Amino acid sequence: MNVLLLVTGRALPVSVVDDARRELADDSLVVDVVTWLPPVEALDEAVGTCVVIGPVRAVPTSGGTSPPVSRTAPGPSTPTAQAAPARSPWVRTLRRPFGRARRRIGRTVRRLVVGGVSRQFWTRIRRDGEASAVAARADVIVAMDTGAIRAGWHLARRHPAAVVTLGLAAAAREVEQRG
Amino acid sequence: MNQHTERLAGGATPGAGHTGRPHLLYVAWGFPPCRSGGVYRALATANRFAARGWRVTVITAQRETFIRYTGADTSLEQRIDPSIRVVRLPFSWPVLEPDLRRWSRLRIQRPGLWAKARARRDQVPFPEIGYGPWRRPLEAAAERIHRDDPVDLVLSTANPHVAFTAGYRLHRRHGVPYVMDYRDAWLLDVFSGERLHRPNSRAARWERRLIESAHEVWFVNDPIRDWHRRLYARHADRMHTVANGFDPEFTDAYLPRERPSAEPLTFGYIGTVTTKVPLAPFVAGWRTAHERDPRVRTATAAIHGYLGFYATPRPDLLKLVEEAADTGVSYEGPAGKSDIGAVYDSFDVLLLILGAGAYVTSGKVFEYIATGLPIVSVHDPGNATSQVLQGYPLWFPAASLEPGDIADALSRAAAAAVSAGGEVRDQARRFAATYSRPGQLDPRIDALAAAVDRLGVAS
Repeated sequence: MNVLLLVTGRALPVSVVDDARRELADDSLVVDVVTWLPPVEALDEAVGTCVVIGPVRAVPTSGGTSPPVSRTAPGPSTPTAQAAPARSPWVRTLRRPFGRARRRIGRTVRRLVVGGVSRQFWTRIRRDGEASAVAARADVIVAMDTGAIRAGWHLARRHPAAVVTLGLAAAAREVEQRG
Repeated sequence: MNQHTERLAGGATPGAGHTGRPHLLYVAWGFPPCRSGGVYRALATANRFAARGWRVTVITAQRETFIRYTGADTSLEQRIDPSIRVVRLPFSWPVLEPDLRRWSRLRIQRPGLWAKARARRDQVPFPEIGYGPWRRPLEAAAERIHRDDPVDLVLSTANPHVAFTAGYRLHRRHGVPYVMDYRDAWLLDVFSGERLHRPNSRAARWERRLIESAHEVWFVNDPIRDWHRRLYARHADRMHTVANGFDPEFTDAYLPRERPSAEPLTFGYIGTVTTKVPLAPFVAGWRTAHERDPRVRTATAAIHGYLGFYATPRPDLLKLVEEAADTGVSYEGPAGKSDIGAVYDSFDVLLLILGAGAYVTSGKVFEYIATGLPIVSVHDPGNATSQVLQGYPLWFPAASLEPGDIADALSRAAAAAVSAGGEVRDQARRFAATYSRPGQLDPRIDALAAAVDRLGVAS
């Protein structure tokens, strides 16, 4: 049986994979992971495939942790910007509320255009060949947190034979019911 | 002549026609295999009525509800008196639905909007989010049962409060008396003492209507009963305290043992740990005691039960426990009622960790005192549970939730666990005897049997 864990909330520890095997009462099941953040520790032996789909993609290996590489991070050749001249305190005080409002507007626009993590997570899975392939072969798809629910719901529509649940306990119950 | 008598005199003869034994319709949303805290009271109440010669029909939610949402303890089903008829009604709980195929597109795309719409829809039939839609199937089932086998008395236990609607319906249509059993309170926040609903809210109006027509209203402790007596002064005489008490089977299953004094002590907690439970202060106090007291340093603290209300442990609570693992604190998972004797047997000292509130009494305190073991109270001293424990010879309350005070209580209890002799423990168990479930239920069952007789039921 292939199990796919969808994770957006926190960097994935290997214990989550062990939990999956324990809940589903099957030590031999193949666990694949599609995660927004790189796992906190090496998952080489614990999982079949680990697809990191967020902006920071470095995956720790059992040989050591490679530094995370951000898709949006500037390259090493980017020239360093000149430091802006210091402003007087009253100018900073005046700018602060506007800065806050600007940030808030920016966040709202960003949320409307690209969506929150939940929508971005699903968009990236849809566009990523490896993630889609992992989902296609899964018998059980588990959204491990609220950010992964949207992706789980869309995958449920695309793969009608798979069990798709929120949480491992529910997945274990559904699998047991299906025999 | 009161309303009951008038209606009964002119209507069909109630349950007497069948066997001469009165017929109780007991409504409990949470009934075995549900594993929630209130299920033990529900089970004990139904069983006790059956044992006292009543024919009992229970209306509850279907098994699937508990297996899917609340967690189930199937061992509890074996404890239902075989003479009890259990009618299970479908209950859907969309908010907790874990199967993502059953989620609508609106819920995925606008979860906030969906939740608001759902909450409003739930409250159309009855002002209770999540449970409101159960009113119609519940009332229909009560009517059906009464038609097939006339009911003499309806007893409903809440929460959910929608359970009260079955009794109210049979009372209005057929004059059947009903009893409301509050395991908690509806309008009162038992933790803060604040009102939860405004006086003119739908919930308040419903409660007023229900209490005005109720034959009796039960509460789990005197502070909650007194609060309601003040609120509904005209109906104060029909309000009674029926404390949770402990099951007599428990004292049969639990066999206290003598422990060698050199053996490390085990402190134990059994129950549901919610966010109201001061787990973090306990862990801090335990750590302090661990540093100060050699007996606590070698001891362990085992937490049995659920972390949060649902089958999956709440990550924040689990983290708290795991972070204290170096001091011997561990989470042992839920304990089935059938294993409870063995779990208690592994303890030397009991931990009573409760949320604050002058109105909070824990059901487990009765089981705790039945063991005769030392009890450490980690809760606000004003908690209603303190009233129950006054006079228990092996009670060690923390003076406050400060780590130092909790550590002191833990140390005193550890010393008592080693030094207390059989005489003190027997004295403790004698103290507990008045708090058995039959001791609490029988006076009310007797009074209700007499009332049903008086209202025209031939026995």
